Amino acid sequence: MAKSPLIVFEHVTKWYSGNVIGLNQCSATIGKGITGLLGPNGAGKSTFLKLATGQIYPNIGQVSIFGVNPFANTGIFTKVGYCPEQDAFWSWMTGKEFLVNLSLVHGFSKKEAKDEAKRVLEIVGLDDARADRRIVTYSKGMRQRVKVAQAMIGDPELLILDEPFAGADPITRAYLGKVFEKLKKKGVSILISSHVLHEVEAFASQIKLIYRGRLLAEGPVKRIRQLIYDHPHRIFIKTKSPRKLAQHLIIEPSVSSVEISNGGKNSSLWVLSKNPYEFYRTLPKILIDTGIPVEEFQSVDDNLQAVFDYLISR
Amino acid sequence: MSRDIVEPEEARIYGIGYRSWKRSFQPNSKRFLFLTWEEIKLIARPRWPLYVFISLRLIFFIFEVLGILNAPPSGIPFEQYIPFKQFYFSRLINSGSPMLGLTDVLLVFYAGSSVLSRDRLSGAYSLYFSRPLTRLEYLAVKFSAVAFYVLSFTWLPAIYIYLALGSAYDFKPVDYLKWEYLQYLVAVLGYGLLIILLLTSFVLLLSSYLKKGWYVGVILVALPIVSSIVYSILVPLEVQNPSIYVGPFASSIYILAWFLDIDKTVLVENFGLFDATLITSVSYVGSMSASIILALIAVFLGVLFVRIRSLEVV
Ligand SMILES: Nc1ncnc2c1ncn2[C@@H]1O[C@H](COP(=O)(O)OP(=O)(O)OP(=O)(O)O)[C@@H](O)[C@H]1O
Ligand SMILES: [Mg+2]
Repeated sequence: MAKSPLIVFEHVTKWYSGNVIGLNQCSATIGKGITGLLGPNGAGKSTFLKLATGQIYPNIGQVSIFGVNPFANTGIFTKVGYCPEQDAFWSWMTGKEFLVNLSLVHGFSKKEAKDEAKRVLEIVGLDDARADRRIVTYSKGMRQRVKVAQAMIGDPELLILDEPFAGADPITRAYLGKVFEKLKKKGVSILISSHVLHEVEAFASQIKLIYRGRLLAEGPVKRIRQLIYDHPHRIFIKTKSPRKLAQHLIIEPSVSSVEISNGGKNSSLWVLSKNPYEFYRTLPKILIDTGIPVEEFQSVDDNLQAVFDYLISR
Repeated sequence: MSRDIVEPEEARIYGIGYRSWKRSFQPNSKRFLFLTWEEIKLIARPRWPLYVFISLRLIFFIFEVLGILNAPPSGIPFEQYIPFKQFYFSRLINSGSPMLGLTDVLLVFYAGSSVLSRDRLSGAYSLYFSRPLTRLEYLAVKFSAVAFYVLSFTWLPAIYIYLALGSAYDFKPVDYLKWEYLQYLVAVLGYGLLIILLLTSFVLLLSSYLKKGWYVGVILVALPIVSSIVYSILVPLEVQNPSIYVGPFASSIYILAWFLDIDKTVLVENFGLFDATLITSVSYVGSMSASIILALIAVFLGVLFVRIRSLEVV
């Protein structure tokens, strides 16, 4: 971890109107490098990032970024770039016009604003043909690229990106991922939120897990991956002969329990496995040996929500 | 089952890149002018209300100028017929400009009601407030844009009438610039500025509170109606200086009269303003009302600034 933290949260609590709690007594320190902020829907990721960029202010506690309180202290944005979760565009403009205008808001002169727009467009891989189209015509992936590009205006040292992959196509995801990796090599720090680990694990070095407005776990990506993949998985199997399959499964050492939910035609099994890796390996063998047809198969624990429920119940 | 494998593009980052970028920002005043101009363009973007307004005004002024040019009855020279300032005053009242007429109220409403709410709804707050731009600067941009836009509609007619009057009075070109006459133009422009600043700050304040633009419109139309009802109750009661009690809407005419130095008897006898018998003097009511308006502007702007400063981009 870096010696001088970029962002510090001290016992930060944030309520929204209607007594909804966004962040609850949250203390965290974000250092240099790429940090992934992970949590299921409604965990408080966006709240965290908005507090860090001074879009909102805490009810209790203190937030500092580069050593200053970010709220209404817009001077920090010479060093910080922010990509909000929601679409925020002047959508009647073309992508290029949008970025030129924002560069002007940033303080660049007319000529330099054009250069700056060109530079960030190149980084996110939007060519002229696409950059000269109106934003209203953009796909979700292109919008995300433009949104990330606007955060890079003014060459910030720290990028704060709220779910930049959300809704983006696989190509955009891969592309932006590569961009982040290269930025990291050039010494740019990034704080990026997501609700799936695999989106960020390739380039993030640190992960913070937040859940229900609190920091639940943090550490290097390797440790967090173990936490997530090494806990029991619940697996849903839809089959015409649930009883027969259950008999075969229950004797497996990797299976802790099997539950049959019998709804006539929609018979299905819920399997709880304490060693999912082993289970996923043996299941195909069992199915082939017994010849039981399976219509549907999914692990519901792929989503973070289940992992978090597991982590807090320990 | 076959599945397309999408090869991710390789990210390219060119040598224009990070860290080495030299920032040279333009002076804040230049940025301010640029942003204000952009905002004015935005205000004027839905073109049709603009065209309707301009054509209404134009038709009005063609009649107005024709009226001025045809006014001298039976060849009497103007100087003997009616003093210049009185004629100017009467024409301004007739044309409804730059009086606090319904047209101006509607124009301010059209220009100002969505200036802040537009940013709130489109998420553009986050675009401004994640840049090195202070909230005071943001507010100043919005305010100047609306005020300038509306002023252009208020000042131009006043200048236009001044010029038309001059030609009716057979001014030589140099006469237009004589302080003897020019003072009245300056007085009228100053009056217009006072009224527009009041309306602009009021509308911006409303639009920072109200979700929908037309709520602002309802309040704007309701205010003069309510104040004229109150006024019509006060007059038969023979309350002294009734217009002071109902605020800017009923008293603005006395401000204009005060600025142009037109006294009470003229208002009653030449303009049929019988309510003027109830006032102590034009200068008293005029100065009182102007002070009230200045105080209101200060209060509205103060509240608006506090609101924007503590505004959260949720
Ligand atoms: N503007 C708001 N008004 C009221 N409640 C809000 C508001 N924004 C967020 N919340 C609530 O605060 C909590 C945290 O929300 P937040 O948006 O920070 O979560 P998140 O982790 O970003 O979720 P997501 O993955 O859906 O983006 C949620 O319960 C949410 O309902
Ligand atoms: Mg979010």
